[in-house]
Amino acid sequence: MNDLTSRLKNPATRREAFEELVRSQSQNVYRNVRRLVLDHEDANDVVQNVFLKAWLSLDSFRGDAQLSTWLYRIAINESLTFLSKKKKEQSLSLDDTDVALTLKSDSYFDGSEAQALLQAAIATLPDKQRVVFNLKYFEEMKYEEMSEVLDTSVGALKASYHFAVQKIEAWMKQHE
Amino acid sequence: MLPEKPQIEPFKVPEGYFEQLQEQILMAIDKQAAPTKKFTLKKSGKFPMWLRYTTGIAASVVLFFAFSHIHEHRFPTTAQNNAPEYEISNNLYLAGLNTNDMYEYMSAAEDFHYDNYEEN
Repeated sequence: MNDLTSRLKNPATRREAFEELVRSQSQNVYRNVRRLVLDHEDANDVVQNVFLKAWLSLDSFRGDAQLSTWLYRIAINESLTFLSKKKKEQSLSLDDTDVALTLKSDSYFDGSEAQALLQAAIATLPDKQRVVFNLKYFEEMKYEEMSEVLDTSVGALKASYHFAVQKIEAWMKQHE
Repeated sequence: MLPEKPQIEPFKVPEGYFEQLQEQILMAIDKQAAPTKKFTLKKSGKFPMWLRYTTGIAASVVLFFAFSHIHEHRFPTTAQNNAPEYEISNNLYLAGLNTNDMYEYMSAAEDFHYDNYEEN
């Protein structure tokens, strides 16, 4: 158990240690959440929930996994819950080309047209497959670490990523 | 072929966002940690706690028996219902007679024979 983890477990030093965790991890968490929910305001809400959940779950954190892995897990679960809730609330699902248009008109998206199209392609994937793709492609996370985060076997993750890439390439070719 | 991974993150945030985010998160956890007002029974007072609890239990027992008695009186049990005097007294009660009048009525009924009562 590293120093930060042991300080988080100790009630006397917990608050200070948690501040340090927020400072060091908030950008990382935000980036991963934003890639899934796309909208900045939504990402802001989800990220706050992530850290609140992390604070409330500190006692149940065993310390056998890295703090970043543990936080990733919470972030992904919260993002998937948010997406699921949003889909239920919206009677019509967003068309995949709407995603590209929405991003291009979003003042908080500074990417090229190709990047907007890539995000639109990623948005067509099932939620869990999106997570796998984002973690592998953007975060360059190793499959072993991803397996811990997502509690899925390395083989299943490799297959999921392989199919995700195929679908994205096919979609982008169709929309060139 | 997938496009090349962007070197610069395309998702932007408002200026100063992360500092503000950290403050908001810490405020939210401080709200969680703040002790909430709890309602507690006053221990001090004229009467000691043991007396209050005993009184409460006694009152509950009295109320229980009172309700049971009323329930039995208004809605006699099946076994009692089969007894002829209860059937008659129940009808008289429903007719609005008090207990004394009921007994006078029943004892005056010379032609009332148990033998005539047909059991259900």
